[in-house]
This record gives sequence, C-alpha cells and structure tokens, in this order.
Amino acid sequence: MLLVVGTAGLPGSVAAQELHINATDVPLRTALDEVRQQAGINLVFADRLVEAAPRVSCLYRGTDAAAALACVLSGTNLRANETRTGQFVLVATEAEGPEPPPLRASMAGFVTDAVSGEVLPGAHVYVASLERGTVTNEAGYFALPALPVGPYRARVSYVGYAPEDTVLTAGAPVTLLALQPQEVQAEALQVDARRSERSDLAVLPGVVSTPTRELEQLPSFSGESDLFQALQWMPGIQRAGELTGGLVVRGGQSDHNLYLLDGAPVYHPWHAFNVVSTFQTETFKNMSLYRDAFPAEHGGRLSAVLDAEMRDGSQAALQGVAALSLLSGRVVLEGPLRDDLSFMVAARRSYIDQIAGSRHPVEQGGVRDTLRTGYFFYDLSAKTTYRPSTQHRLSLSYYGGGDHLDLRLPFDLSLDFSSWLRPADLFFELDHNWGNQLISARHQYLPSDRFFVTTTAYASGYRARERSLIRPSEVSTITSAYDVRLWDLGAKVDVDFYASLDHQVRTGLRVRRHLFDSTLDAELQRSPRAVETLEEDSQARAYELTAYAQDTWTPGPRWTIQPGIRFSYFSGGRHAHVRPRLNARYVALPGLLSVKAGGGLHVQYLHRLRDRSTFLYDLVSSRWIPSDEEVRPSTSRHVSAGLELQPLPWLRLGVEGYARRARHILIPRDELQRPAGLNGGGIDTGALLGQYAPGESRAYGLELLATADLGAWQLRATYHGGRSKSRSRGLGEESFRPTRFDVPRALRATVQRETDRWIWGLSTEWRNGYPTTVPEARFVLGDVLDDEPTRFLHRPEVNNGRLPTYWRTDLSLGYRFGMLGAPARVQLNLFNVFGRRNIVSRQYDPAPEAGVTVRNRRGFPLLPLFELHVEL
Amino acid sequence: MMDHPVHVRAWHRFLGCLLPALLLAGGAMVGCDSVAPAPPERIVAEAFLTTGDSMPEVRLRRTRPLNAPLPTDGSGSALVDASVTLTIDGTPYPFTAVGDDGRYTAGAAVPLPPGSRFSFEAQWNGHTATAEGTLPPPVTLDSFRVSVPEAPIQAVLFDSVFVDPTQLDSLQLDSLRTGAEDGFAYPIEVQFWWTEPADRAYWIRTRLRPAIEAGSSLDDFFLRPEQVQQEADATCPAAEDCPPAVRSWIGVYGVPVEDDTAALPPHSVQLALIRGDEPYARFAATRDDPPRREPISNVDGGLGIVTGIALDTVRVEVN
Repeated sequence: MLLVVGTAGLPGSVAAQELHINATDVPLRTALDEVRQQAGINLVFADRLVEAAPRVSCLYRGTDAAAALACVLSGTNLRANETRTGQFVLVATEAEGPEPPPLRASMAGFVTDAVSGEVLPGAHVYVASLERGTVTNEAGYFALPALPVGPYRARVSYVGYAPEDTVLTAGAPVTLLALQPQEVQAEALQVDARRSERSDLAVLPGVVSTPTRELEQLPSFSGESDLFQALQWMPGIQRAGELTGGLVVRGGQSDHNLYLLDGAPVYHPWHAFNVVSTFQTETFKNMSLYRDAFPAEHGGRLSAVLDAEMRDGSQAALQGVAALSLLSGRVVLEGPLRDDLSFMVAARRSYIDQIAGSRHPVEQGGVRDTLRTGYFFYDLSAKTTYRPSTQHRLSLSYYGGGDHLDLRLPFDLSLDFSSWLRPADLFFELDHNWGNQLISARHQYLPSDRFFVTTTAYASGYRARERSLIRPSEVSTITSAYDVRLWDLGAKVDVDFYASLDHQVRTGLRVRRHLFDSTLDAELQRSPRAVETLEEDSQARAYELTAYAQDTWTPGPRWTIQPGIRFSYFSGGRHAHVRPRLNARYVALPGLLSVKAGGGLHVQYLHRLRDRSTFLYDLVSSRWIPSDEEVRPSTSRHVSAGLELQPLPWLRLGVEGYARRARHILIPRDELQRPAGLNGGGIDTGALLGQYAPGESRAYGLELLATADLGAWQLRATYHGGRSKSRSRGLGEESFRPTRFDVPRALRATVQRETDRWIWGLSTEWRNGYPTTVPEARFVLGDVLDDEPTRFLHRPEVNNGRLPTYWRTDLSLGYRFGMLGAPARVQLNLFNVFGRRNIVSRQYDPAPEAGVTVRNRRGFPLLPLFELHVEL
Repeated sequence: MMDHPVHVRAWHRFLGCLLPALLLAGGAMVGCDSVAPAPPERIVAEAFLTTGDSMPEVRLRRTRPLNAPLPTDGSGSALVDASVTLTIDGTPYPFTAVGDDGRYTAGAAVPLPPGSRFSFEAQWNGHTATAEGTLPPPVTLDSFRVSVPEAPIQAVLFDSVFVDPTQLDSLQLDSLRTGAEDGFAYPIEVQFWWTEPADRAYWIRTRLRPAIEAGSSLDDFFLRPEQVQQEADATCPAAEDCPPAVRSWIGVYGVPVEDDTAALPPHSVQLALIRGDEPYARFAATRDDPPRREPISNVDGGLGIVTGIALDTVRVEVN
C-alpha cells in the first residue's frame, strides 16, 4: 500500500524552515514523521519498506529537507527522490537492478554564522567514514572532491561555535551550513576541544589564530578593543615599550612584521604614539598571526604576518556596539541592506581634545594670541558585501585613520596651567598629522565546485605631515615642513583547486607598485644672518611581482604535509628570490597529541628607517626604504617544531621551539645615538642609510602555552625562553650581542571568571628587563681646542647589561547590566595594580671624581582606567 | 585503569621523558647574560698632528675602573712606561715620556708638511695601539666678522643642568618643568671666511668659544657655536658673492643678561677653524655627549684620537 503523508504547509516555504532532527535509535517512521512535520514536506513511500527498515539515528541541524531525509535514511536501503518541490518518494536502492559504477562528485558548501550570516574561514568539515576532513577558505567555502555520489555524515566545527553533526550529500548543490555561536559566558560555556584552534592553520607551527570573540576576552589596556594589546598575551610576542612601541615577535625587529587588513598592507598600524593600534578587534571577524612559518601566499617580511579580515556585516538584523573608554569613544554598526547586501561601519575617535579644549584664545596687555593643545586620533572602517549568488561574492573595504597633533605652547611649561594662558612671545608650534588610508576590493568566484578564485585589488597609502615652527628668541625662527608619502598599489589572484581528497592546491599571482616620496623644506634662522635652508626630496619607485604555489597534502588521516614555494621579483636592484617552505603535522594520538614542524626561507625588500640624529623631522613618521642596487633585501631562514597536547578535555598544552637566522638586516651604526640637535643627515636615502650598517641576527627559543577552560573560569599561562642577538661585521662586531629587545625569559598569565553579572580578571607579566649598555670603565680624553680633557664612560660592548626584572599585575572588574533595554557592561581596569615602578630605561652619567650616577626612567604607576560598553 | 594500545603507551612514555626535558631546556638554554667582569685596561691615545707645526705632544692614558678616581689632570690614569713611535713618511721617531702625566715627546723638531703620511704605535703592558692618517693642507682663517646687536633680545633660557629631551623623566613630569624660562641675551654672530684647497675631500670643524661665566645660557640647541661638516658644504650665504674657492660659516653664541637694558658684558671669544679627515670629523661630532656615548675613536687596539689636522684660531675681544 502506498501512503502519502503530508502537511498543509506550502511547499514554497520548505526551504526556509530551520530543521533540527535529533533521533536516536527510533523506528524509521518516527524519524520520517519528525522530518515531515518540521520541513512541511510530502512523503510518499510503501509502508512495507519503512516497516522493514531498521531503527535509525540521526542528528541534523540545517535547512535542507533532502539532507535531513538523507540523514534519517542513512543506514537503511532507502533513499528519497524529490519528485516535485516539497514532495519526496522513498525507494529501495536495491530495486534498481545492477549497481552502475558510482558517480563521483564533490561535497561542497559554505559555513556561516547562524546568527549573523558571516562566513567562517577556517571551519573544519570532517567526514568520519572517509577519515578525511577539509577546511573552509577565507570565503567560508569547502570542497571534498571526487566522492561517490551520496550522503555522508559530517561534523562541522569552528572555534567558538557549537559543532554541528549533519549529513552532506556529494553531488548535491553547494550547501550552506550555519553554526551556532557558543556563548562565551558563565556556565553556559561548553568545553570544546578545538576552541582555540583554527583547523586550516593547524599544519603551521607558530600560528596564532583566534576569533575576535576570544581576543576580546583578553586583558587590554584602558579597555580599548585593541588587537595588538590582546596579542601580547601570546608567547613570544611583546611590545617594544611598556605601553608603546611596535610588536616584537620572537625577537625580530618591529619592521619585520607585515600587517594586512582585508589583504592590503598597513604600514603604520599605530595611534597615540604607538599606545594603541589601528586594529580594533570588534571590526574583525577573524585574524591570524603567522610567526616564522607563513603560508606560501604570504611573504615580504621576516618575522610575522598578521592577516585580519573585517566583518562583512550581519545579514540578519541591524546591530552594533557603542563604547566609551578613557582614550576614545567608538561605535560599530552592521546589518543587512538587502537580502544579498550587508554592511559594517565602525568609527573611533579620541576625545580628550574635546574635553580639555584644543584652542585657547588669550589676551594680555592688549596682545592677543591663540594657544593650541590639540591631539586626537580617529579610525573609520567600512565594508559592504554583495552576494548576488553562491558563485559570486563582492566586497569593498575601506579604512582611514590617523593622528593629529596641534600644539602652540610657550617653552616654560609648568603644572600651573594658568601660567601658560598668556600671549607667548617665545613658543613652539607643532602641526603633525599622520595616518593610513586603504581601499580593498575583493571578488570571490566559484566557477565550479573544485575551483575557487579570489581576486583582490587594493590601494594602501600612508602619509605623514610634520610642520614645526619654533621661536626661541626674538631674532630666531625655525620652520620645518616634512612630508612622507607612501603608496602601495596591488592586485592579486588566488586560486584554490580541490584536486582530490589528498591534495588541495592554492596558487596565486600578485603585482605591486611601490611609491615612496618624502620632502623636507626647512629654514633654520638662528640669528638674523645665520640662516640655513634645507630643501630636499627623495623618491623611489619599485615593482614587485610574486607568484606562489602550495599543496596541502593529506596522505593519510594522521599526516598533513604542506610544501610551498614562492617566487618574488623586486625591480629596485632587480632582486629575484625563490623561497621554499615546508610544514607538516602528524596527529600522533587523535584528540590528545599532535606534532608540527616547519621550515622555510623569507625575503624582505623594504626597510623602515629613521633619522636618528635630529629633532627637526622624522619625529612621528615611518619611513620605508626599498631595496636597490646598494641596499640588499633582508633574508631569513627558520625552523620550528612543536607539540600540542590535550590531556584533559578542559586543558590544552603547547610546546614549540624555533630558530631563525636573518641576513642583510640594517643595524644602527650607533645604538646610543639619540636626536641631539636640529641638524640631521637630511632625507637623502644615502644619508639615512649612512646611519645604519648591514648585519645579521639570530633568534631561538622555546614557548610553552597552557590554557584551561573551566566554564566560568578561564586560565592562560605562557612562557617564552629565548634569545635574540645580532652583529654587524661592518661595525667590527665579531660575536653576536643581544638585540635591543632581547628577553631571555618571559612569563605571562591571565585568570578570568565570568558570571551572569560580573567579570573579573587578573593578569600578570614577568620578564627579564631589556638589555642596556652598561659602561665598564672610564677614561679621560682631551681635544685640541679644549684646555681641560673630558671624562667619558667606556662602553666596549652594546647591550652588555640588563635592566632589572619587569613585573606588572593588572586587575579588571566588569559588571553587566541593562541600559535603556540594551545589554551593557562597565569595566574598571587597574593597570599596574601594585604600583610597581618598573625601570624601563637607564642612563649613566660619569661622576666628577669616581663612579657613575645612574638615572632610571620608570614605567607607569597604577593607572585606573574604565570603559562603558553597550550593545545596540 | 584504562588499557591503552601499545602505541599510546609508547607516546605516553615519550612525552613523560620529553616534556620535562623541554622544560629544563627552556630554562637552561636561555640563561641571562650579565655584565661582563671589568675589561682589562686599555690604552687611551691622544695626539693631533698639526700641519705646519713640528712633532706634537702625545698623551697616553689608560681606562680606569668605574669606581677608581679619575682626575682630569691625568693623575691615576697616565701611562708613563709605554713605548711610543710615530712614523712620518716612513721615518720612525721614538717618543719618550716627559713628566708623570702621560706626555710623550719626540725630542726633535720634525716639521709636518701637508700630505705627510703618518702612523702611530704605542705598546704598553702587552697592548698595542695603532693609528694612521695623512696631514691635510693648511687652513687659514682669512677674515671674520663679529656682529653684536645694539640691545639684548628676549630669548628662551635653559637651566644649565637641563635636561635630556629624549628622557621623559628628566623633563620632571611631576611638575611638567622643562627647565626653560624667558630671559634676555645678546646673540653674537661671527662669520668666517677661508679658502678651500684643490682637494675637496676634507671636513671642517668651526667653533666659537666665548669666555663668559657659566649659569643659565642660551641653549646651544637653537644656536650654533660649533659645527662639523664637509668643507664643500660650507658655502657662502646666498646674499654674498664669494669667489669659487672661498668657504664661509656663520656661527652664533649667546650671552645672557639680566634684562632688556643690560649692556653686553665684555668678553673674548676664540674663533677656531680645523680641517681634518673623516675619522677626525666623527671624533669631533661625537664628543659632545659624555654621559651617553664616548667619541668615536680611530685608534686600533685602544681608544682616543691620533689624527692629522690643520688648525687656525683667533681670539677676539667683544665689547
């Protein structure tokens, strides 16, 4: 007897139904009824077939009725054929006569966030019956090619999301899989073995890849949503200064890091004199930091590559965040414009100038003046994404940000601010602004389910403008106009080819045009006739061509091997390099232990230098110098290896060792030189390079990481032991000496607890002090023009000593509440809660008779900082 | 107890051994560096071979431990038992110590013509210090002009114990004190003229050295009492019509006074013009910041400066 069972629901509404089938060892009829009711479909089947079928189990979440049916029919000899929209017929598979050779097809799809619709790069799709998995690319796409057509049980997982067990069908159209975000809050948090790991990068040692939601949980100075401050809690990453300075990754130089925003490089990712970065975590959906081991698609730097992707914008509803911290106020808004169009807009601005005022008209004795005390920084990020079909996806990203410093002050400053407020006859004026601007357009195209083509075009610019006017006396005036402009115009095509279950190939081509300009126009009138004029300009142009190929080879369920090669050509100096790299992972004990190792070569064609001698210019600017016939590109080679263990479901341990050797890096000729006057070497590239000497460096170390995820409790501890040394034979250095930021040992730990209302965290950093150059002797030396000789301190070696141990503990306390119906959080951060005055630099003065006088510069004392955070 | 497969147990054993070893290695392989023990004493040589003069006096001293007394008169650091030889154009001249303050002389008046090649060697206590160079063409301060304003001008004055602007704490942030105050001073301009030799590969050091009382002063930061530059860069001001080979420099020094009615304190100023090679220029340009760094030496195996220069000085009374 044929049965037709159905619902009154309209077939057209079937596809939109959210299905959640959770059947364990139930009669097939029961499971079919569940699918029918939830999906609103008609089912036609012979009663005898269903009654003769074994009991079934199925766990499915998604919107595809066919997939749900395939799930419940898995393990039976039945399958469902859709005869018309919303109607399925169950037939016995063996009734069709001799089995034809199995057709082969791809199982492919996109993985998205079920709430916002954001695609999830790096999600893991694992088919247990094949003992094979794959990962989504940056568009959230995955493909398992050349599978026999039919349904497969699969597990889809992603960091910070509830894993999903579902049935995927090889040969079916590209599927959309939506994962539910896990609540990173209180007891609702589930322990997930892969919570801190992005599967696609698991083969690379040294990768830090964390969803934004996790980064936001890490302590950050002043509560700013700052990516770089969060990264400091990872092993082997530190800031050059206490709160300022570039990122030092595994002992490399800060200009050996590449910062990418939606595929475009950012050349000066800092605000507020390097206190906060331009990378706001709330605007990103994902970020990856590669340390030493880069995928073949990345290169151009020796130490690290940070690759951050802006959020596409929620496809579900308008939502946002508004926050106010001590430094700045910010807002992030995102939402759908149409079904196939979404946007994200974020803005941030510091506001101290609005409170304290930036212009102060003053009058005294009939003389008027306007003093200025303005400083602010700002960011504006925007992205819109258009998805006309599953084959095409276009996005357009913009970032603009900068700092503006505007001062006009008398020289004799004091805490008595009222004393400033008078017309200043002798004064200094600074009008400096600097920042980045980039626009990036990306087209993601799926010509077939085995090819995925990503085309990116971008323009990234950095400009700095320094204007100074100094009037130290009635007859002297110093004016300076210094400009730095950098443009990086690039286009690249990346192709993912899903060749087979064992091989996934990624290849690409990139063309870049670099333009560097700087000009200096200064007049130093020290007296009526002592006038110096500096008019200089410097220009450099270069093309860079890069091609790469990389295979992710999975010879078995335990091995993943990733060979890659990268070719680059730089027109300045006509440098060409072929840089191979090889990474591998072996899963020794599934779920317990995996081993990774990697090695490769890198090349860097750009060097960031600054004139170290003058106060007149190069004060806030970053100046990049391209390689040419005279300046060789820096090169490095590295190896790293590590273990990852998960001895308990809530505990992850990691151990990783690394070694890197770099050549042709530029080292200051005089490490002790500081700006001392107004005259500098000029902005001519040759003059600038004259302050540096080619050298080499080596770094090695061991990193330990432990994270414990105990529901409301989160613990993270990292240890880094390593050395970073350099030498320049051109400076007569035969042996390696510590680099400026060499830290042999560093220990960091954070503990956080979240409840429904309260969030508190304690974090601490302990490390060896930075190297310092300690005098070892004194001597007397005269000059032909002096009557008396001068006492000098003799420093035979650079960085031969070390500052005292640095130790700081921060405390944060947050409280959640509702504000005008919106979830809100207020947070108090106590920076350096014990008020320990760490010594951050030291100077030695020769005492008149014997010994030296030590002058210490100390770090920040206890700073109470706050943030108010409201979800819109 | 759970029974693990053999390979799992093997891994457990492996981990049991490896992890402690890694932890130990992590601590041990990165042992902190520390300040090396005090280095052996080094020779500090000082000699300026001046074109047109006879053999110079050589001063030999040694480095001293940080806590040892170090009077500038040389007592305590003078080397009196070194072997010193100065070779001029291939002819060696032994030097002998005179007195106990580390001075050595040749004992013979040997002229030093321009272009002479010299090499220096000092041996002491197993150490050898050497240097070499060439004597530059003579230099003559052809003319100069001193310009004094009729009245003092308002200027920013700095405390003489002021500040290293690169050190935040030295700005005394607790009080935001910058060490600056408005005052009055006479800015004195001095212009030199001299003639450049045909060989233009030299450096020039120009200096104004006024004999005025110490105290608050116009900070050199905004003035120019001294400069080291390539001779070819010392061009005449645009308003002047100098012959091609004539070089010029304008220096400025300041004389602080009490108020805007004060007269210029009478004083003298030494005008100095030195021609030298690049090692001398590096030495001269890096000896102005004793706390931070020592002057760049051209002495191999030791410290100090042994170089050839051409020198001309004039002392001027300013009223």
